[in-house]
Amino acid sequence: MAEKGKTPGLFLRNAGIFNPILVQAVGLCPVIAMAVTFKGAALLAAIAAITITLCEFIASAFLKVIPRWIRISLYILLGCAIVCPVMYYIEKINPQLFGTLGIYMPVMAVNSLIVLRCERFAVNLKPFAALADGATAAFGYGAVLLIVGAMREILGSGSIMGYKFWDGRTLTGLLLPFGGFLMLGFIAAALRTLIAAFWPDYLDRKQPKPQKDNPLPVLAEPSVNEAILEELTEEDDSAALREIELAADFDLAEITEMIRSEQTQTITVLTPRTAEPADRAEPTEPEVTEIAEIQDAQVTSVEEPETSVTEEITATEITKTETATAQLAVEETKETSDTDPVTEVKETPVRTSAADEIKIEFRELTLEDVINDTDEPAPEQPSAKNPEPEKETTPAVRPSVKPISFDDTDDELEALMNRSLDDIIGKKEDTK
Amino acid sequence: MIYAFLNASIFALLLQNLVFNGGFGMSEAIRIATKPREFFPIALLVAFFTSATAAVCSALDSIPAIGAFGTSAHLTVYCCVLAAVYLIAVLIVKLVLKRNTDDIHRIGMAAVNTLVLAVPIINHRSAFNIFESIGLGIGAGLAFIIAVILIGEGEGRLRENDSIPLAFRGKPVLFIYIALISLGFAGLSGQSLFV
Repeated sequence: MAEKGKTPGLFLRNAGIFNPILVQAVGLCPVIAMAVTFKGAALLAAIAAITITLCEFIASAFLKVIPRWIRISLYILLGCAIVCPVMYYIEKINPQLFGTLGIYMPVMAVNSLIVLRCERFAVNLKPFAALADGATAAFGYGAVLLIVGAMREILGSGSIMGYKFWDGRTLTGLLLPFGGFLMLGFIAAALRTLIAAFWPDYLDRKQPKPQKDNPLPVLAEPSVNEAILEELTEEDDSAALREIELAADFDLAEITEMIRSEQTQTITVLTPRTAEPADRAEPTEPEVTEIAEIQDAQVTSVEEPETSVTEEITATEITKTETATAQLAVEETKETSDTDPVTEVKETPVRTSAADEIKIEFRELTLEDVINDTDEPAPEQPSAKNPEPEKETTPAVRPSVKPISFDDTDDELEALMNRSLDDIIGKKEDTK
Repeated sequence: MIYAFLNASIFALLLQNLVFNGGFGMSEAIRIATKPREFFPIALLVAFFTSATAAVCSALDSIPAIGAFGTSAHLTVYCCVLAAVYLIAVLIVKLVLKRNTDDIHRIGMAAVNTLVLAVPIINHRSAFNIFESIGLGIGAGLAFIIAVILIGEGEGRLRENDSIPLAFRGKPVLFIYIALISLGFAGLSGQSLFV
């Protein structure tokens, strides 16, 4: 067995760690329905091996220059061209076996495994590398077919290849597709245990596409933020949490921890995009572009925040902003202005997100938003909502644009956040 | 005519669910179920391809020269029909509707599918007429949609369930979940589990 953490080779990757059936769940049709005897499974495995290997080789050698949308139709014809002679040959040699396999032999021509391997791997590899890739994948596919076929035949009919084990009660239900899925589930669990034990880095990871002529690309580090984003947005559809997608370079681990510990229910990521166009200062526009580029690279879609989002600012965000502002005030002894928050946005340069930088900006909060949603700024307790704007009460809420780190939060600020949040959580529940 | 159509549809949808009892299109169903955004477009495209391919293949089978072909020749005809239907669909989407490449990729995912090719083969073997063929195609498409809904819902709940042992998280428990659904559909067909 390989040492733990050692990079596995092509064979182990394609046949084991990223097994087409057990891990990628591709090409299930013949396994589920027709791998009920060892002989039938062996025949299907042979057909699959020939089809996948030849299709990958031909796709790599001849189909790279063809546009993808035409290539798909060629895969159908290619699969048919390979399967039809095999079918004709088996029909002539062993009609009984041919009849047993039924329609599952013809449908191997459009097995989704062929398109998957050809499109993701073959067209990115040289022909002989594609041949090796197809052969290893076909080996993994065939191995699962044989194991499932043998086990189902033994348990379902009490015999294998004509050799009868016992005459007693048999589990004929395993010969149904239900039995195939059940068997696949347990075999997949066994494989998963092996992967977790010897190649833990590869567990639950997607098989990377090969780089040009390199069938063994480096397994990319998983994007922690992407995984967290996915989890958060599924749990809570609040618009504020969606805003986290706008700054995917955030250290979301910290934010997640805070959300889970209920220290805050919403985290607002402030970007110039959220500001009104009239208020947006020109120097920030390059940052806007840069943010958009980074965001586009990080997330699947970047949405313009709706206008209503600015109205959903909760006291939590204000509190957080307040504490951050207070901290910045301590650090820089910078007086906030009652007028024109844009000035501060303009003056303070914003660090752009790079591989190792974190970009944090604060929303330009208007007084109306603050007063409508919150109460006094920290350290005072937030009171009930006051619809009338109080223009002179919240200088501390003025956001500073200087990025801060959450590590800088001291105990006092943390206590303020917690206290405010308790009230806010109660308020939020009331307003819901 | 309507009776034949409905009969074939219900057969493909319930009595012999082509996805859960036949395993056709199961890979695509699992793949789409884990992508909620892709669910409706691809499921509908699969339903379209099953119906269109079934109709065209059934019409061709009514031609005596083609009806007399052997199994391999029939497979060649059906694959050519599938490729042609796919190309026509892509050209319509590309040139007429002017959609983006994502939509074209979805068409490819929906077309290359064992379920789409299985329907005309079943129609030919069962000697269905054109109404039954179209009914089977539509029933297969609906079966696929139901499969995606059931698998997607189950997969979401299984993913959130922390009490599942580590070895069974992900695909293993999903396969077992699908096995139980398949068992339910097998009950509709009256098959026995033990002898």
